[in-house]
Parts: sequence; structure tokens; C-alpha cells
Amino acid sequence: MKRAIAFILTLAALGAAAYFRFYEPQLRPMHHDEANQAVKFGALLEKGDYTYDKSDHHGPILYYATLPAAMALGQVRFGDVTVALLRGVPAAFGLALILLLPLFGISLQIEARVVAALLIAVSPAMTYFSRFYIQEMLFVFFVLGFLISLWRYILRPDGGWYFLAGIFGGLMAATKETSVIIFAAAALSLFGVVVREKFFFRKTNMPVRRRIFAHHIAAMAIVAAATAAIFFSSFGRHPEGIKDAVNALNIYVERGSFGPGFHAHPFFFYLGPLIVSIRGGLIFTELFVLLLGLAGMFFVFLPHRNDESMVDLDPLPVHRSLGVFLVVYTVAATLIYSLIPYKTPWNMLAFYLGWLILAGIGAISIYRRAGNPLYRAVVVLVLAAGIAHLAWQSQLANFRYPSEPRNPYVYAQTSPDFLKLVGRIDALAAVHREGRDLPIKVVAGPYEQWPLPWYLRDYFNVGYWTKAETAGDLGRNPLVIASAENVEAVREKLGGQAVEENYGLRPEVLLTLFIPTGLWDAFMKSKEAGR
Amino acid sequence: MNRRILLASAAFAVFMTCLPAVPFPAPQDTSKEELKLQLPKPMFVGTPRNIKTANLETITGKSRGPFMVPKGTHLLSAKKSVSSSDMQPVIGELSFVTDGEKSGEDGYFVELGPGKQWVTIDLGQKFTLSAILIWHYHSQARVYRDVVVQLADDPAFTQGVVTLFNNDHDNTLGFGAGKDKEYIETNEGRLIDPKGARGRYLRLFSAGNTSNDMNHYVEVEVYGLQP
Repeated sequence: MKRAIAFILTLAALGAAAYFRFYEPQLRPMHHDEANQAVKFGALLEKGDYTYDKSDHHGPILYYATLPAAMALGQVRFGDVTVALLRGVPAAFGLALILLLPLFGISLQIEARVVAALLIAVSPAMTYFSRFYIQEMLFVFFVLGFLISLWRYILRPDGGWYFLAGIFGGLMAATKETSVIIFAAAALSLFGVVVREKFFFRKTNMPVRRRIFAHHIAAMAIVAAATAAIFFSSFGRHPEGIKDAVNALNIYVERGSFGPGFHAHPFFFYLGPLIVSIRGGLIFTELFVLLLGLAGMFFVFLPHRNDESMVDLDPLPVHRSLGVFLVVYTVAATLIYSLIPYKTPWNMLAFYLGWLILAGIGAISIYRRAGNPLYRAVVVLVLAAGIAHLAWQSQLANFRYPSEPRNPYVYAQTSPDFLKLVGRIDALAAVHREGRDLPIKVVAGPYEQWPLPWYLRDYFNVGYWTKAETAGDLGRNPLVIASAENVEAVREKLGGQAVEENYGLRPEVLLTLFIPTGLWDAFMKSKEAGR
Repeated sequence: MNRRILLASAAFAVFMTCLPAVPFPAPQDTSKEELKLQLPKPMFVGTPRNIKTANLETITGKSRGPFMVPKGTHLLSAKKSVSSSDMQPVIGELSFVTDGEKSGEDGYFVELGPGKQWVTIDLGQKFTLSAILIWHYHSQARVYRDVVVQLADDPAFTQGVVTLFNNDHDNTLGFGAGKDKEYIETNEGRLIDPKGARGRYLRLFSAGNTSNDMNHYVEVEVYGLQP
């Protein structure tokens, strides 16, 4: 591939990636997990403090990564923070994945990198969760950085790459506790490469066999631990965070294996929707990527008749040991994630990244083996059609059906109807004499309170109760938001002096808004006047 | 004598007290008959968390019961032409609205775009209507927003416009604040009594639902008398 074409295609990938990640981030209502993370960030923003919570929320990197962005945009008060800012952070990391690919160097040839970049740019799974204010996309970025650094270390142990691998490893650990899965899969990959070099290609002059030094691995581990410790301890302010981070592993292992509850899902929870999802007239599939990935795996293990060291003549667009490294990582991570009962759809990204890179390898391998220019033209056309189809699905997933349960990437998502509740509260506050000081009482269980704390962050008189009996006096004419099981009790307390409206929180979960009749009349009056 | 009068009075009082509780057969309106409907199979059981609020009709879980219509009532809407504010739906076709298929499964509904949308059924000529049934989407418990049903004599809805149903309680659509309640979709569909209103064009509005911003129609049935 000519450099100019590669450059243009890479630019196209970056453009598409930017569009699918940054355009209209507010379209989808905040998921309760996002709101939870946002409120946690708000505490860091306003109080300048962070304490690691070993039982929930994952590591601190997301918040510390958001902080400079908020400062740069002048959003120094939690009430000022926008959805665009929050979701812009994972979006930036999702885009930066493409920029990391060249760090593979000549081990992954430019053609394969370009195809992988295009696939990463438009993959619905990648784009959808790049617009999600959770740890996942940062984690995936660090995973790729870690894998690249590890590979570069294998190629050139004296190059300081082990140090970078340590930093990326530490950042991974400080982002999500599931980093242990990646460490395990990476160790298996390393082992796979060593086995290949030592037992199958003993005569080749590959660096792996002799040059993995124990002191480098030890240094890598120390750098990783130090990096993670800096963040877990909140830059030294809460040293107990380090101990908690170690203890958290037990909690997450237990939760992942024995107590997944609502998040317990079968083995094919990840691969199934990637193969195909047909729901309510909508069809989503990333089978194209999986098939190309399988082709990549096949070609990595398909012997080449030329001498192994003659990489240039090999139609495989990847250093064969790197190919093995990626295949073992991808298969191992896919299996480990699929075997763990606890599953959430965004977890798939850490292993799906491997499939996307292998798909780039598979596509170029097929192209090169096509030989005949006509066949090659067909391969290019099929590839272009496949990428265009993925882009079309990303368009649907992110812009037309971002909250729709028929979209396979949607998981316990807040309904768009919920934004009407928020809009109603804003409209009522606008006609209330106390404005944003109007009293609001939320009477709902923990799962039905979120994402209200995010959307009501700029209201100054909001209280949360799980039961109507404990919500105290409702006599000051507050707005009351009640979950279904509290509606009767709230109505009784209000003595019927309220207009009731229902709003969807999630599919089949409704919240009821009780509006004092006087306030409702004032609202309707102002609405009619403005018509 | 006094004792007899007293006993008779007591017996009469007891008789009069019990009278309203004794079930007398209602006088038969021989000009009416029960509307016969073919309902699709239910797709879900119960209501979302058994919610009961003042502005939302409660699902009892029991059948709606018979609905009486004038004798000679026929289905008028079958295969009649449908137009919409979204003439190019992404999923399904506008003809699904009147094709007689009421299943809640995939492939039987048309999906209109987000926000306020409408469909209009052209009955072909002016009829006296006896009943209207609407199935928006009944495979999930959800409430459609701002449901307004209007009947008119012309396709532009400028002549003889009658509003038959309106649960747009805050007047989002601008037809006035509706007094009808919101309701949860079920396989029984929503029955609207047009009370003998006359017209040719039936327009149904909605503005998203509690699960998403889209608007759906599985089927609309319009019953009435031949002119």
C-alpha cells in the first residue's frame, strides 16, 4: 500500500472515529452507572479529594482523567459539568486507540494497521461504549498500550519498553480490577510465543528465546505497582487505598464467580450479539469482524514456504510471533471473560480489540493471497462494503436507537422518557418562586434513584429516601418523585393534593412525579401564555 | 293489630333495603350486539411493578368485557390506505396499520420516528363509527405519550373535526389538555368509543413512549355502520 493511500485511509478512520464518538453525546440519557461515576467525579472536582472504594466504582483513573478536561473547559463546579465533557473523555481514549496502532512498528504492517484502524473506528461495539462515561474505553486503551509495550519489549529487551509496559499495566490496574484477566491472558500470550520460538522454530534467530530477563519482569511489576499505588492512594493522601485495592481483588473474584446476581449471563452473552442480534425488526452483526479475525488466526498458523526470517516475502502482514501473541491473547481473553458468570456488555471490549486487530491481519492476508487483480478488486469491494455496513450499524446504534433495548449494546439503559421527567422538573422550577431551591423529595429504592442525582445536581434542596414512611413531612408542597411501590403511600401523605405524571425510567419501570396542584396550575398557565 | 303492622312494616323495610342488591336482568337493547374481536396472544403478564397512579389506568388482569355496538357494525378499516407524518418508516410499512395482523411479535409493527407523529386512515367515505381499537405495541408493558384520536371529513383535518380521545394532559400537541387517562399497552388493544361520530379520516397521534422515543402501530381497527 502506498504511503499516501495509507495516510488518507488513516485520516478517514480518525474522522469516522471522531464522528461516531463525539457527535451529539447527549442523545442517550445517562445510564445509572454513568451517573454514578459522574457523581463520584463531582466529589473529586469540588472537594479535590478521592478515596478508593474497594467494593464499588472501580479504580480512580477515570476521575483523574476527567479532571484536567474539566479544568481546561472551565467546568469547575459540578453543576456546570456537561454530558459532553464526561463522555468526551472515554471518546478521546476510544479515538486514541487508533493512534496507538503505529507503535506496533513494522511488526504489524501498515496495511493491516490501516484496516484495523478502520474497523476500530466504525465497529458498533467500540463506538457505542466510547460514548459511555465508564472506565471501559480507558481500560481498553491501556490494554492496547500494555500489549504493544510487551511485544516491543520481546523484540528489543534493552529498549526500555518494559518500563512503559509497567506504566500501562499500572494504569490498567488503577482503572479496573479486571486487569488481572488481561495480565493472565498476556502471560499466556508470552508463553505461546516462547513455545513457538523454542520448540517449533529453533533455528531462527528470534529474540524471544533468550532475552526475557527476570529482572526486567520484576522491574515491570514494580513500575506497575508504583503507578497503580499513586492513584489508589490519591497521590499519597489516602495510603489505605493501596491496601483496599489489593483486598478488592477478593471482592471482585467473589462477585464475578459466585454472586453475579442480575449480571449473571451465559457463555455466549458476548459472542452471541457480535455474531448476530435480531430483535424487534433490528438486525445487528459484527460477524464480518469475527470472520476476518478467524481468517487472521488461520493465516498466522498457516506455514509459509519461505524461510521464517524472510518476513518481507511472507504474505502475512504481521510478524508471525506477534501473530501468535495476538491470537493467544484474543482467544484466552475471550474464553476467560465468557466463562466468568458476571457479565456486562462493555466487558467484551478488552478481548474484542484483539479480534479487530486480527481482522486487519486476516483482511490483508486474504488480499495478498488473492493474487489475480480481479480477485483483489473483489476483496477490496467486500472489505469496503463490510466496513460501510459496520458504519451504518454504528449510525443506528448511536444516533437512532441509543437507548433502545433492541440495540444489543444497550444494557439496563435509562429510557429517553426519563429526560421528559427532567425537562418537566426544569419547567416547574422555572415557574416556582424558589426556583432551583424548590424542595424535591425522591422516594424510591436505590436502583430507581439513579440517574436522578446526576440530573438534579444543580438543585439545592433535594432529598432521597427509599420508603415513603421515612421521607418525613410532605406538607411543604415539594415535588415528589416516587417509585411504583411508594406511590400509594406518597399519595396518602399528600392527601390527593397533587397532579400525578408517569415517566419511564427503564423499560417497564415507571416513576411517578407528584406536582402540587398550585404549581401545576402555574406551569400550565405559563405554558399556555407562551404558546 | 299493632304488632302485625309493625312486622309488616319491618318486612317491607327489609325488602326495600335489599331491593337494589337483587340482580335484575338489564333490559335488552335489541338494537345492539356484542362487538366480536379477535385478539392476539398476550406477550407479557401483569403490569410494571403493579403501578397504580391517578393519571394511569390500572390493568386489572381481567378481560375488558363485552362492548355493545349497533347491529350491522362492520370492520371498516381493513386494508384501507394509511398515510403518516413519517412516510418512510425504518421498520415495517404503513400498510401494517390496517393489514389485520395484530401479533405482538417482530415483523408486525410499523415504527415511526421519534417525537410527535401521526397516522391517518382513509376509510374511503363517511361512516358512523361504533368502535375504534388501537394496538400500538403490546409485547412490552409501556405507555404511549400524548395519544390523541381525531375524526374529520377531509384529509387536512379542517372540516368536521371531532376529538374522540385525548390523554395529552399537559397539551403538548396543542389540541387542548386531554382528560383521558394514560394506559399500558396490552394484547386487548385500547378500545375507544366514538359514540356514533361520523367522518371519513381517522388520525391518531402519539409522542413516543415510556421505553423509547419512537411511535409504533401494530394495528388499528375501525368499526362502524355502512351508510
